[in-house]
Parts: sequence; C-alpha cells; structure tokens
Amino acid sequence: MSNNPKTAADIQKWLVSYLAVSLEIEPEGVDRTIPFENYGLDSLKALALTGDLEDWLGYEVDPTLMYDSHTIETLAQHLLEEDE
Amino acid sequence: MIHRNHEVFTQATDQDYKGTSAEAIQYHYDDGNDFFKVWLDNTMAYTCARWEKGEGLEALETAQIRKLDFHINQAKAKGAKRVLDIGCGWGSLLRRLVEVHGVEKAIGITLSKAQTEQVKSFRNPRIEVYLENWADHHPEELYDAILGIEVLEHVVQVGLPETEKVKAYRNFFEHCHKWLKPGGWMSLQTIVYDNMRPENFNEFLTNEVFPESDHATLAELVKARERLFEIVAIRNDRQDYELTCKAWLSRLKKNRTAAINVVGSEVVARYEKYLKFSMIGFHTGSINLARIAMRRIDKPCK
Repeated sequence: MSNNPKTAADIQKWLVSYLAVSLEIEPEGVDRTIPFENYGLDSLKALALTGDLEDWLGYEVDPTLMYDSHTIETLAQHLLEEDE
Repeated sequence: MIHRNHEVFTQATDQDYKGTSAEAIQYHYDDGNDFFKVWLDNTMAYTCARWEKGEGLEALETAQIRKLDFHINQAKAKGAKRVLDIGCGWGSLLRRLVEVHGVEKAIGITLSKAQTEQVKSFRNPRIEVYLENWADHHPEELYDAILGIEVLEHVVQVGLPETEKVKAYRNFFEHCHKWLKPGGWMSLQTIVYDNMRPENFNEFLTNEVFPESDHATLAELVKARERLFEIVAIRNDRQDYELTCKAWLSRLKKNRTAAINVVGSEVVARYEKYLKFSMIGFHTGSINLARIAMRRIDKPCK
C-alpha cells in the first residue's frame, strides 16, 4: 500500500479526466459503465494510459489491462484488489 | 545506438537474401551482454519460457530451462551425436544439450560477436560455435536434430509480400533438410502474426527493437515446408510469452538504474515500451507463439 491510498472513487475520477483530455471530450461525456474498447484507444494510447496511471498510483499496473473488457468502474475495483 | 535509422539496414530484394544482416543482429544483441544480464535470468535466454500453471514471475529461470528441455525432447535430441542450434544466443541450449542430455557435440551458429565470445568462454570441447549466417553454414557431417528457437524472425526482411516470404522460409527449410540425417527431427519456436491484418504488420514492427526482422504467419510456414518436413505438432503458447515479457519488464524496472548505467535512459525506455507492447500483442492474440515439431521427409515427391 502507498502512503496515500487512493479510493475507487479517486481512481474513477482520474480515469474520467484522463479519457476526457485524451479524447478531447467533456468529462460528462465519459461513461463509467461501458468497456474501454468502446473509446477506441489504440495500443500506444493504452500504453500511455497505463504508464501514467502507474506513476500516479505508485504501484505497477499491467499494460494489458485496457484489453480485459473493463469499464472505468470495474477497472478501479480491480486495481484496488490488486494492490491489497 | 539503438535509435539508428532502420533504413540503414534495408537491403535490395534478391535471390541470395540470407535474412537479417550481421550488422542488424549486432545492433540488437551487441548492446552488450551487460545490459541483457541486468534483466534476463542466469540462462540468458532471450526467448519465450515455458511456464506451469500458478508459477510466479520469480520462476523465470525454471521456466526457461523447462523450455529448453521441451525443445530437446521435441527434436528427439537426447543422447544424439550431433545437434545444431540455429541462432544459439548466449548458449544456454548448447550447454543443456551436452551437460544434461548427453549430446556428444552441440553446434551453435549466431551472427552476434558478443554471443560467440560468450559461448567460446565456456571452453567446453563438446560445444562449437560459429559466427556465421545460417545460409553459409556447411557442416562436415550431418546432424541428428536441429533446434531453432526464435530464429525465423530473422529469416525474412521487413515488408515482403507473402509469396516472397514463403520463398525465404523455404530456402531456410531447404538448408535444414540438407543438413539433417534421414528421419531427423527439428523443433522450432517462433512468433507468428495471427489476429491482425497484413497491412498492420509494419505498424507493429515500428514499435519493435529488431531492425530487419519480420514475423511469419503460420500459413506461410506451413506452405514453405511442403515436401521437406512433415509437421508433427504445433502449439500456440502466447500466454507463455506474455508472462515472459512481464517477468523481463519487472526485472528491468527493478534494476533500471543499473540498466541505464550500461545503455542510457533512452534505450531502457525503448525496451520497456517494447516489452509492454509485446505483452499486449500476446495478450490479445494479435501475435502468437508457435512451437512446432517437424520430421524430415526423406523421400520428397518430385
């Protein structure tokens, strides 16, 4: 665990704003309940996302995570469980 | 060094094409033993391991040795007189053949000077290593078995149409056929493109760190070996490669400072990206890891 543990809500918020910036859309337009592949991230963007997420969380994140049919909600949950 | 323009190595298509040039191989592998030592395991195997269910990343070395034994068994090389390892790397398979599996003579060929020197340093009279292209290999005696672990990647140049690729692979198989005793076996391991379109092959390779190398599709290999080798078994072990890349990445990250001291931060960043990119490829099945057992066809029909 890092010193400043993030909650599922923190992670969801980070992902929403990351996608909003990356896709140049409003944060309100990001749906937390649809799979990531619906956003059409290519592999390089997916790599950048997991890399930045890793830096922000302070622990390792699998670069393949974006390909496991996760939604923002399930991904946040998954990351918390992995960190335990 | 690693950022040198890949075009430098591009060769014209010709009938004598022998695969990846020595310059390109040295560009990749002669980044130095010291860099690879930082993040490979003690076997220095820079190819996909063979994992068992539930094994953790710390079992990398065990999984690498299991991979060597798998191919040795598949090629029926145990106790053989003469075995050839095409693209012998840092020699872990050569050692395993003579030290554990009772092979009388294990012969390795590679285009990397650093690898040749490493294998020579074993000073084992039952191991021979040659710094040469497989197309220039002229053995004095035939082999009982041939192994090729991730060497087909270096047999064709980038961006060839399918018919040209098949020709290049066939040239490789013809050489193997010529070198092998009647009834001899060959075990191959190679990355193959699978769930992706040919027009995206190049795009994949621009993210690679191997200049002048390309992958096959299974269909190309199956076509290329017709009337030379019969296929006895094909496995797709892409999950093995995802785990192997993950283990390498984890070790490289853990020892990042040491790695940067050897090759600089740009090269390290490039390798990290390449390993992550490969993990995605094997995870999604856009690329697969084929393990193929073949038996020499002794009476090819004309």
